[in-house]
Amino acid sequence: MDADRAAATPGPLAGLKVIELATARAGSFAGTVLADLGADVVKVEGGQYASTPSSESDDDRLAFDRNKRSVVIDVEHPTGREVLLRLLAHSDVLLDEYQTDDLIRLGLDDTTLRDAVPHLVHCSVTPFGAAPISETPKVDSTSAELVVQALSGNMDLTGDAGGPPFELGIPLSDLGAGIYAVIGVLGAVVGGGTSGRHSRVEVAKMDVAVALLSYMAVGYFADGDSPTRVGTGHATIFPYNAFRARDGEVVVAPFTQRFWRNFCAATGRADLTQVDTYKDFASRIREKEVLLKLFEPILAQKTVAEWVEIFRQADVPAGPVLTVQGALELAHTVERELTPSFLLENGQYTRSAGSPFKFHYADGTSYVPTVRRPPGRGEDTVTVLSTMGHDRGEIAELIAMGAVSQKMER
Amino acid sequence: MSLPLKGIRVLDLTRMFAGPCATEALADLGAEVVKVEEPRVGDPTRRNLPLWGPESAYYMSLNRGKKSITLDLKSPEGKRAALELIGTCDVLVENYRPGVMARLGLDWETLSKVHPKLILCSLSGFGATGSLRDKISFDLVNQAMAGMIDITGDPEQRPVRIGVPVGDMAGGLYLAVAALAALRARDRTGLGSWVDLALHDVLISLLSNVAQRFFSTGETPTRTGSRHRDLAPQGCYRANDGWLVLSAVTDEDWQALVGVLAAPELSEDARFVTAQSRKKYEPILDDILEKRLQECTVAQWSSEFAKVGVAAAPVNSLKTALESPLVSEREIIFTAEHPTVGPMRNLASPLVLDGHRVGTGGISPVLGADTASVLREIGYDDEALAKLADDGVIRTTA
Repeated sequence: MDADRAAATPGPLAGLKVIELATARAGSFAGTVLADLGADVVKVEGGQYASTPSSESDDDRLAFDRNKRSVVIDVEHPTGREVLLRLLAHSDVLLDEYQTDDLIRLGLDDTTLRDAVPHLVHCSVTPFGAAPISETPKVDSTSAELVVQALSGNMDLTGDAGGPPFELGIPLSDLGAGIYAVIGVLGAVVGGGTSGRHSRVEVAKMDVAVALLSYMAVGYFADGDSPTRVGTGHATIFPYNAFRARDGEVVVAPFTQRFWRNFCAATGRADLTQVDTYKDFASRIREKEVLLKLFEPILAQKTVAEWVEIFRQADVPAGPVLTVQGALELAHTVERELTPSFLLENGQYTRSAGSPFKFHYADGTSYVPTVRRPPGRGEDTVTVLSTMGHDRGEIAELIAMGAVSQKMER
Repeated sequence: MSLPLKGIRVLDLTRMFAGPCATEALADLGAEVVKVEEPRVGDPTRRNLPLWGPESAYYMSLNRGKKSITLDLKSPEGKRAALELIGTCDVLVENYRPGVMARLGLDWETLSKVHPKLILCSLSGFGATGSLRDKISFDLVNQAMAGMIDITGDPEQRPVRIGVPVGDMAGGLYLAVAALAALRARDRTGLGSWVDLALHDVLISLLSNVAQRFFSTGETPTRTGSRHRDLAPQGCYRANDGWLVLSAVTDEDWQALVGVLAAPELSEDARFVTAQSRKKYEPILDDILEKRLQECTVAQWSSEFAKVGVAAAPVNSLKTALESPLVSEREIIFTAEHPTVGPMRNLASPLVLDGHRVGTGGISPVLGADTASVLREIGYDDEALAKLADDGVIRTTA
C-alpha cells in the first residue's frame, strides 16, 4: 500500500472528536490508539492539574502524542474552565486520569457534565479506581506502574524460579489500561450512536493488571494453587522455554503431541517419543529437570539461526530471542510497515513503533495508520478555538488573561 | 443496566487464547457472541489443566458470556450453516493461520461480495502479509521475536518471559478495539471491513516508549531488573521475609526515604544528591539499601514508607493479590453457578460502565449448549438437526 492512498482513506474513527486531559502514560496511550484510528484527538495541556510536561520525556512525547493536536488551557482559571466546557460541547469523548475529588474541583464531575454536556462519553483512568475505599499506596506517574505490577501479582509471576521477581519489560498495566479505556469508550460510542446519552467509563490500572492474570487466576479459583514464576518456562508445558544456543537464545513451544514429536526428531532425539516417562504433558513437566539437562547440550551446539531454520523445516513453533533493535529491524516488521518514519519540527526524520491496525473496507479501499509528529504544546490553540467560533479578538483576550496559551514553558 | 453492544451479533470461530479474549471483551459489552466449536472436542483449551469439575479453568476464563454451537466447518452442511449464520451477524472473528479461511471458502474476497456490511476480524501470529505470514506462533515465540523477553529480567542474567501471556492478551484486546472501530466506521459509511491483525504487530506497537528510546539513541535498550532506566532509587528489594518495590526518585521522596532508613549520612553523600547522580552510583546505593531493607519485614517497611508518602508495596503472589482488599473491594471477582461446575469464581472485566462492573455473572458455555436454538433461528427444524447430528456435523450430546 502506498502512503498517499493510505492517507487519503479516512480512518474508521474519522469524525470522532476526543478531548484528552491525560496526566500520565495510560491516558496518553488511549489517546494515541484513538488518534491512530483516525479520531481527532485534542490534547489539553496546562495548569496544575493538566499534563505536567516536566515529567513527560521527549521519548514519551514522540511515542504517545503522535497524530494529536495540542491546546494549552489553564483548567484552574475560571475562564479557562469555561473554554474547556465549550470545547467539550463540541466533542464526543473526554479522556482523563483524575480521581473523583479532582473531577469535582475542576467541575468535570458526573453531575456537572451530565447537565452541561449530556452527549459526552467520559472516561477516567486511575491507578486504583476513581474513589478507592481502602488506603492505597501513594503513587505518582513514575512509580504507579511498578507498584501496580507488584500488588497485582504480575511481577511475582515474572522471573526465574527461586530468583527475584521482575518488573515487566514494558509498562503493561499503563498500556493495558489505555487499551481498555479505548474499548470502553468505543463501546459507548457505538452503542450510544445518536441517542445523546451521557456515558461513564472507569478504568483502574490495578483492575487491568488483575485481568491480565486471566486463566491463571481462574486456575487458582479452581484448585487453590497459586502459580509461581518459571523463567521463560510454563507451568504445565515442557518444553516451552528459551534454550541457550551457541550465539544467543532460542525459544521453542512444542505445545501439542505432534509438535513434541517434531521437536524430538529435529534435535536428533526421536527415541524419546518412545519413552513412557515422557509420553504426555503431565509426565514431561514432571521430568522437566531431566529433560532440560538432556536437551541443553544439544541446543548449545548450533547457532540461533541454524535452530530457527531446523525448527521451521521440522514444523516446531520456535523463534529467536531478539533485542528491541532486532525486533524493530526484523524484515517482517519492516514489511508490515510497523516502524513508520515521520518528519520532526526540526526538519529531521525519526521513526516510531507504529500502530498495528490494517483496515480493508468493503469498497476496496484500505486504511493503514500513518504518523504525524506530536504537536508542540499549544500549537493548535488558535485553530481549535477558531473552529469553536472564537474570533481573533476573543482569542487574544483569552491569551492575555492567561486562560489559554499558544505555548507552554518547560 | 443496558449494555452498549446490545443488538450486535458476533460469530466467533476463534479458539485458544487471543481470539477468545477479543470476543469475550465484546460479550462483556453486551454483544451476542456465538462461538462455533469443532463437534468432537471443541476449543482445544477445553482440555487445559487445571480442570474444574468437567470444565477447564482456562476455557472458563476466556469464554464467559458466550453461546456455544458445534459445527464441522469442513463439511458442506456445516459450511452452509456457517454461511447462513454469517448473514445474521455484524462481526465475524477468526484466528486461523492465514489461508485457512480461504480453504474454508470464508475469505474476505468471497464474504464481502455477499455481505458488504460484514466486519471480518482476523487475528494471526504474524498477519496475512510479510515473509513470516505462515509461521506458527505461540505467546512465547511472539514475546521472543518482539523483544519482550530480552527486555525482561536481570541484565547480568538470562532473560525471562513476561509471566502473563502478554502477546495473546494484547492481541485479543486490540482485535476488540478493531471490531469496535469497524462498527463505528460502518455506522458512518455503511461499509463493512476486514481487519488483518497480527500478534507480532501488536507487541511491536507496545514497545512504544522503549522503541522510541532505540530510535532516539540508536542503542538497543535491554533489561534493567526492576530498575528505572534513568532515575534512582526505584526497584525491587528483598526485605527479611519477602520482596518489596519502592520508588523514591524525587528529591522530596529521597529525603523521606533516608528519614525512614534512619541513615542521615546518605542525604549528605554527594553521590546521591540528584536522581540522575543516584542512578550513576546505583550499584553502590542499591548495596546500602539492600543491607538496610533486609533488617525488617515487607509489612513493616510498607507501613513506614506509607507514613511519609514514599511509594512502596509488597510483591504479592497471585493468591495474595486476588485475596487482597484492593481487589475484593473492586468487585472484579464474582461468584456464579455454572451448570456443570456448580458455584464458581471468575474474573469480570476491568471496565466499569455507568457505575456497573462489566462482565459480572458471565458463564462459559458447555460445548454445543446453544447449537439447537441458534440453528433453529435460521430455519433448521428437529428433523434437519437430527440429520446434522447423524452426519457428525454437529454434536448430539454434551
